[in-house]
Amino acid sequence: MEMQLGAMLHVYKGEWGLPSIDYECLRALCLLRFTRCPMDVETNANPLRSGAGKLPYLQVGNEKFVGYRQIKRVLDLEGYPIDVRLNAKQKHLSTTYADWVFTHLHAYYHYFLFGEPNNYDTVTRGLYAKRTPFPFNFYYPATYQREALDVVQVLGGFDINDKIDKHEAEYLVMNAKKCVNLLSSKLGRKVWFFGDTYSELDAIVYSYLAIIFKITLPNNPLQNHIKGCSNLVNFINRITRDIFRNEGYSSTKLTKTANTTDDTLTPSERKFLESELNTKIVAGVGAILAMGAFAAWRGVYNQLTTRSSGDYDGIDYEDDELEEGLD
Amino acid sequence: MQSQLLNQMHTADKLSEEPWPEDATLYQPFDAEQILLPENASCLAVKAYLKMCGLPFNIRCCGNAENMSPGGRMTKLPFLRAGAFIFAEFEPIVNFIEQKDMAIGSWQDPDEKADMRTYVSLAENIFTMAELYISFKNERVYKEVTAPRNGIVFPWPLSQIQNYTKRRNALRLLKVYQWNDLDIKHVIEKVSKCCETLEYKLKESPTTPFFYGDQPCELDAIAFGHLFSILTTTLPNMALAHTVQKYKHLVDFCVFIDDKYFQSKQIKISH
Repeated sequence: MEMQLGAMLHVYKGEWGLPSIDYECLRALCLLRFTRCPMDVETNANPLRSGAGKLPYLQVGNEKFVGYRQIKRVLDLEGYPIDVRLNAKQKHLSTTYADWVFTHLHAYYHYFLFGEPNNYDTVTRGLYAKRTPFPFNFYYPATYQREALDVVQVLGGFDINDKIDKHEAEYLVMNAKKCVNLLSSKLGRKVWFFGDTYSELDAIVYSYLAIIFKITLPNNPLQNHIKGCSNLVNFINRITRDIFRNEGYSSTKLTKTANTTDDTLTPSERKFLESELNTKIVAGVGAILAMGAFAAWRGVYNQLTTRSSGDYDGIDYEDDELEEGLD
Repeated sequence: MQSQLLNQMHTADKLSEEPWPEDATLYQPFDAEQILLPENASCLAVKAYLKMCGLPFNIRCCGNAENMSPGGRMTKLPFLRAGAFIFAEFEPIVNFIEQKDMAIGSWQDPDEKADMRTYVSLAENIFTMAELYISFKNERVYKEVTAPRNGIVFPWPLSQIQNYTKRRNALRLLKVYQWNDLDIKHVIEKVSKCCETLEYKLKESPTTPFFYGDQPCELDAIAFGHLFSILTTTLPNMALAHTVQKYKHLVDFCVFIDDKYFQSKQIKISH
């Protein structure tokens, strides 16, 4: 297809072996890779270049298609529809289940990634800030928090700007656990939710659960619950390993973490190494600043001393005058 | 108000032993003058469900029903007062009745039930969002129907403020469900897809009038509530009604449920 040649999908870079850190991006990537659509993926994307200030977006020539829904429509038109191999009943069930998963997991995802203040400050804000160019990284992650405010207000019934003890997250957690249980029993021992073929439901469930399962948040009650459902863990790991194995950066990320001695370290050791690096950088910058300041101070001091000692140094002065006179 | 969603869940558990209260009352806005399309649909769905269960209830119309409601995910209406407890919206009310073992649909096996719940969720989300969209995002419908009706119970300056907050909430709801940037063509597309799904489900058991076998279940109630409201409400923009009318099986289904449980009204399909 000639249109595919210039097409490029822009997403956030991944983490923890996943191809992307963002639900919407991961969902769009799933569409692409499940249907084996030959399209390039750009991971160093600038969200502000999409026109809507958000990732993912698909660039075809000069046209931009922002967001999952528009990307899906383009892929449908281009001959890569995701549910083409399902029968009629499965197609309908895929949409109903996808909608149901949305109502049960969307608020949980937004609350625990962006709404919970500790999670947001220690993990999520940094994740998004690192993937956004300076100086937008200071401002940009907060737009996600504002979005989460609406989502939690509508679907969870409380305000995330309230004090933390007023957050009624228990309801969200309960709903999410119910959803995970049902998905686990629905999946059973099958490869995909509808047997041998992928569907949109697989893409959506994978995108929500893979991020919730892999992310390293201080407070994430669903993570352990997913660990208890071994078939869902297998489902997540299998898709990450098989479908996204050749995913440019994710594979380098995967091999990097797999091949170096990094994986023999415990998370706390790794954190220590990272913090040591940070300390080195801070110390280096501090040392340079101190030296600079010292040099400047010395320079000024020297000038002052030469000028003040100039009164005593009559010979130099006379030499200068002599030279000037000879010229 | 904040912890209501969880409270509703827990109270439903606690109440499971007690009999159905005699004075169970359903609160809703005024039918003729005030109620808006999405609210009308959810009220009708709950009424249909209670009638299908054969449970007696009173209806009380209040101008400020929405403000009395303990809160919910979408329209916050109607709410049911059973004894000392209050449940708002379709799903909590259904959960409450299911705890009491008076619910319809207890004959379904768990798998079927899970599938059915997802159909209910789809129908509720898609239709409510489409109704909100047409009521608040279509300028003509908003000016001619939504704003005057919503403000009718309040005196002048207050009615303006009410309209403003109501519209803001509706737009926020649309944004959360990612419907805010759609145009009417895509809304119609979504509604017809949902209708297709429902009609397919209905045709799976062609000999019986209900979605699942020969007994009613939650899906029948919610589908009837929304489809019937869309079909019978006259708006300056009838795009939704015209879409639903294309699905003859669903229209027949609405007529059948109306005859069986409501009898009073006759379906009017305006073109």
